Amino acid sequence: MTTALLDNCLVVGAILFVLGAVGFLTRRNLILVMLSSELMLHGVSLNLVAFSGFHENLRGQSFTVFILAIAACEAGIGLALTLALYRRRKTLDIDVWSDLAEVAPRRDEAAEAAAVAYEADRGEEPAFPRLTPAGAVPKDVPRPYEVQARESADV
Amino acid sequence: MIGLLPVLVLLPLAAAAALALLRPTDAQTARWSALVVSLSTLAISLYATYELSQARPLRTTDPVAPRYELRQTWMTVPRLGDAPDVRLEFYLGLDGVSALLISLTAILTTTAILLSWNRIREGRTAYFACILALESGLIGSFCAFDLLLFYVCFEFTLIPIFFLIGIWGGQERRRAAGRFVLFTLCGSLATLGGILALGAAAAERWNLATPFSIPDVAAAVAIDPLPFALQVGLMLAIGLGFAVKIPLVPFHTWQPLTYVEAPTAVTVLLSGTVLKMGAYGLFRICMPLLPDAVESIGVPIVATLSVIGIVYGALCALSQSDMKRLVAYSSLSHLGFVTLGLFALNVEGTTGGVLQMINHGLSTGAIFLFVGMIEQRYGTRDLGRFGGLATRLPALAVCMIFVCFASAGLPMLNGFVGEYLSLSGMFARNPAYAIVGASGVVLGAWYLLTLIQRTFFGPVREPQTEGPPPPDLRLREFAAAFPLMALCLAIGLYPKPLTDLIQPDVDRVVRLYDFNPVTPQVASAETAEESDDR
Amino acid sequence: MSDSLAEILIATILAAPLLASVVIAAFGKRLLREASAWPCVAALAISFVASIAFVLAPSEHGATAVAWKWIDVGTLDVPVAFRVDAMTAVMLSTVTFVSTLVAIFSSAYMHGDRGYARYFAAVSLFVFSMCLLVLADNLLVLFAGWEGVGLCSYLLIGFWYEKPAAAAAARKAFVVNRIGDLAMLIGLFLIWTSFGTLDLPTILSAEAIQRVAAETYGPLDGHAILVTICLLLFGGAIGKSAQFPLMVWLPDAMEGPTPVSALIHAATMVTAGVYLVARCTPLFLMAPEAQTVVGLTGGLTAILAALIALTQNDLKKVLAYSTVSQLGYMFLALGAAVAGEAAATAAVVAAMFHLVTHAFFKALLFLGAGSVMHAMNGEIDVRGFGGLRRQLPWTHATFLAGIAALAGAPLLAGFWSKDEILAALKTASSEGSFASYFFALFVLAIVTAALTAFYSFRVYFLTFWGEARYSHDHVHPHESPPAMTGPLVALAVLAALAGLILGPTGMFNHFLAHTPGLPEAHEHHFDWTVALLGTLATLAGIAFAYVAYVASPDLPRKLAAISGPLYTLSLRKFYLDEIYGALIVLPLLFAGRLFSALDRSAVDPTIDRVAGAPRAIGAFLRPNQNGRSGWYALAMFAGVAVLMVAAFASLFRQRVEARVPVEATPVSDRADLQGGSR
Repeated sequence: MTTALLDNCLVVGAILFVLGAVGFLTRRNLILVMLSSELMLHGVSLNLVAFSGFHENLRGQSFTVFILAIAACEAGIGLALTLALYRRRKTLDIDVWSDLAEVAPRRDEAAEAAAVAYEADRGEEPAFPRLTPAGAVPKDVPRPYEVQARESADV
Repeated sequence: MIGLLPVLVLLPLAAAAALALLRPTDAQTARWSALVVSLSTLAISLYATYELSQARPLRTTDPVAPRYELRQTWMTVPRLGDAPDVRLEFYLGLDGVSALLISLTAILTTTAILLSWNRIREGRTAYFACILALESGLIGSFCAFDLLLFYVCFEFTLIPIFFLIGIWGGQERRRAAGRFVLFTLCGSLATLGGILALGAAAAERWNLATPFSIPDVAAAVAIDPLPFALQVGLMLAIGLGFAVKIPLVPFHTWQPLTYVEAPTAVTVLLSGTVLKMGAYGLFRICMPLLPDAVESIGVPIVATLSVIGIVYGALCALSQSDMKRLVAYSSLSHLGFVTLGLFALNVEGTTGGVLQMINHGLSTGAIFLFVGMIEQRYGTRDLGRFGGLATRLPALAVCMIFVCFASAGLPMLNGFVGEYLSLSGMFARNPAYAIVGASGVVLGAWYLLTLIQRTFFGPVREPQTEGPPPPDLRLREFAAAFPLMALCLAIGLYPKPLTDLIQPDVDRVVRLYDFNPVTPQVASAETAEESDDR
Repeated sequence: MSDSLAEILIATILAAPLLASVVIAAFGKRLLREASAWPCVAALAISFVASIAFVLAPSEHGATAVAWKWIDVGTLDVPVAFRVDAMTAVMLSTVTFVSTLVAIFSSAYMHGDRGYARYFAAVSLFVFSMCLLVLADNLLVLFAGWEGVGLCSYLLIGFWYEKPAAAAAARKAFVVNRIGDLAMLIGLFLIWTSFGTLDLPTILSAEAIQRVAAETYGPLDGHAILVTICLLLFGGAIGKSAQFPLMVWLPDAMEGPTPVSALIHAATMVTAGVYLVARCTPLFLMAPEAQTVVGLTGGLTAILAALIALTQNDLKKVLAYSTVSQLGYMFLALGAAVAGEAAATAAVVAAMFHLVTHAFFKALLFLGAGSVMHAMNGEIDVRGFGGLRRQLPWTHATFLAGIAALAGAPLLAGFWSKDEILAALKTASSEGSFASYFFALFVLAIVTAALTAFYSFRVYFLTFWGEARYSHDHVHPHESPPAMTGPLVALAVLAALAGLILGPTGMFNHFLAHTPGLPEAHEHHFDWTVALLGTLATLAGIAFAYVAYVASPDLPRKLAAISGPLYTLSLRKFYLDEIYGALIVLPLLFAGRLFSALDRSAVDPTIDRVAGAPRAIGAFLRPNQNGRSGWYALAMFAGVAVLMVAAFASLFRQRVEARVPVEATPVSDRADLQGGSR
């Protein structure tokens, strides 16, 4: 493998990684966040494979195989968790799960009810998870951390 | 003998752990087993002290040399280059000073357990577990000869004290517990920094394999001291934690609050032993390891603060109307004699300072004991509500008067010997401090006798109590107080066994300072005799 | 006397009262009850007999005994050592004799008191402490006895602790004494640093004193050190012997039972200061400035207390002030020792002689006062007495003997000892560099003698002569039981005759001159002019008292009206208590208030504010912990980015410094990246 080819591979890997990173940071939908993290993982895997070819040994490739296997497990567990989370709150908005804030938030029943109602409004069929638009704040859903930020300002 | 050392440290800790596992309802088991454990610790510590007093003195001239020691490498940290690996040790040792302080701790713990026998009504198992854990930490810090181990034990005591005050204390217990822990933690953070820096400096300068071992560092210091500026910095950092603990004057405000809010048994332990860790730290760490800084900077600072503390505490005590607060301030005043003596840096003064640690533990502990008994009987500590109790509680009155006089430094009782030695040592170093400090003798008599007069003398005036009139001294209460009072008298009459135990260890340290209290000619004659003895 | 016998005797003198005290304290309340007095009396009698043995068979250099090593640290070596020399023997036998009589008296006087056993336990302990003080051969042991008698004085003044005045007086006595003790303590420190020991024989030996005098100590020379030491020791004596300015505690101490006043606050404890200064004569001889201070203090106190005593109406208070005044007299004598070595012994002997005679007649007077109080149901104001000589014949006769001795009536005990003091003062006013001072003091002493005669006969006439001023409905005066009159008679005989036997015969002088450390004494001559002056002053005082209180009873009222503010000044004790209260006690209490307020309102909040700093920082950082995973992830990325930039930057700098261009080594050629698996 030539240096030029290596460079190309690395560029593609970097693009993949950055795309994943940007998605990871900006998306608020649990499934998309997971997808973005997979993207990052594969950007790294591509780097490893490219270097493996460049150095003409199998180390990078064996790492990649490991990563693939682990990513598969991770996806399995992650999706199962996502499903469980969805069942709890009827929404995929990641910001609903902000219990680790500095002052532990009280569960905001109203916000959750609003989220459920929002989901329910979208159609009459059983509410499937839907993608929340990236970055944009859903119109009618008050976000828990805002409520709680106002509260903690009093403390 | 050596095998007994870890037993002394670990027995109360193990017992505390076992007690913590008991069901909360097993109060009877808890207090009896706590008593048995504390008594056996007491027996071991007394035996160890006795053994020590019989042992032949060490020949070495190192500034710090435990007469029994147990060293185990705890972990080894590799260093770059040719320097030897740094060993962190579990280094327990025993010399005269630590043996006496351990015995004091064991005595006062037993007293505290007896005092809390019926007093504590909730969570007894946890309470006694905390007391035993505290004892373990105290003993550990008194026989630690490794800087880190000392620090660990020093800090470990905070945990049980926090719970003891915060759970079983008075009205404002939370604030008191929080303040106590925060105060001492802040101080000891500086101490930790100082200790680590000292260890690093020791490893760097003398290539020591055990830069945290106090005797090793002290031996190196005696030959090749650290640079002066570094010593001063280290002394200020390390001393800060001890100054808070003792406490020296601007750092004392945790003391009245804590003493008042803590349950009486804990107050006895706090004033009797926990504070001594501070003074002990000064003696064990600052004095042998940082001699130049101590002599030129430490003496003026500590002596000034002690003298201020003596007068300030005494005057504050005069104006208190809460008995416990009064005794708390008196304790502040009396600890001034300890630090004043320690920093005389001659055999007489420093021995007096160490002896005064023991004396203060005994007499102030005993005063708190009796104040607690009065509080238990009447549910209040307000001096304004008492009067003429000597008619109601004659035996208690006699005991209280006895310990007050012991505390006021009446000759033939323990306080006098310590105060006299401390002050005369300081007088030889710098008369001004000793003269101002000695005024505490007058003020001390004043406020203690005021306490007695207002509580016990005059026409009978006592707060309303429900049920039968409060009984005079009970047998169990007397049993708790008797050893303290007997020791007060014994030490006052014949302090020589104690001073003989203390003196060799003090002698090693103060030899670093090369200071003779008596005028040259006489001194030469005296030292000639002494050198014959040696 | 053989050494072992001496040791046994010393041990007996100390052990008997201590043992009695312990026994009474342990068993008195339950078992002995009304018999509690007997162990005490027996023990004191035993001590007295043992003490007398030392008087009868004196040893030239003093008998010594060492009990144990008390403190032995470094150069501070304090054995519990005792010594009996001539001065000690005199003091010991006086103390034990008076205390035995007082104990017998008390056994009747205190009868029926709830604290009967407690009383005798404390009295025994007091005698033990006093003997310890007297016998001590080491200044620290002496100090132990010194504080011990202070403790017993505290316990006995506050004996009726239910009485607030008694409790307050007890505390006052102890604290004021402590002020003197503070000076003495500092004196001990100074002695230790200059002499290197606290053993009395060494300190009082000529060589040691010479050596210290020749030495310099920092800014001070040896002489200044000696003067300072003497002044500090005298400071202790001022406290214990109630001299100006620390005399305020003694009159208040009269709140205790009257026999206690007789024993502790007249005959024994208060004379400890005199004893201390007398014992340290060799030191004081080297410090004439200090001796002058002693003399001036004594003279000032003598006249001040005598002036106060003129107007007091409380019988015990008058006696208390007269005690203060007489103690001042003794210090006058000690001060007069300044007139060179030749006169020193005579002066010291005069002081000790007066100490002994004073112990007899003042104890007698207090016991007599106690007997009067006993008869009058505890009444103590002389204005409530009158004409008691018929109802109380024994008390009257003995009291008269005592009062005449106190006044210095010719041939009675007080006359001889006072005469010796005046003679010593006269010598001092003719020699030495401080002669002019001592001439003034001599005049002062004569005036004081007249005043003493006046006020002592004033209370005597008011009590025993004139009309009865009490109501016969409530009070039926009756003579006291034999257990009380017996000691009175014994003391009265001594008060009348002791001077005549011991003084003019020179017995006392010869005996006391054997005390080691006192310079060689000259033969004692009786000084007729001085005796005549003293007698005239005394007789004038007595005559005036007779005129004012028997012949024309209106005179005192007129005099008081004429003197106006002066009378009030004397009646209010020169406002000393008030002055001290305003100048010392109140400011200290105020400072205490201030400091504890400072603690709560200044130090505490400051520290709380410092402790608030972390909270403020936390409030600043808090919004970051908002629970949004995206924010956390961003922080993580940012952190990694920073680290990577830093790592690359340092790598780049290394390359630049090594002057190796980044591209110079193709990656494929670098061995370290190739691995070994090729």
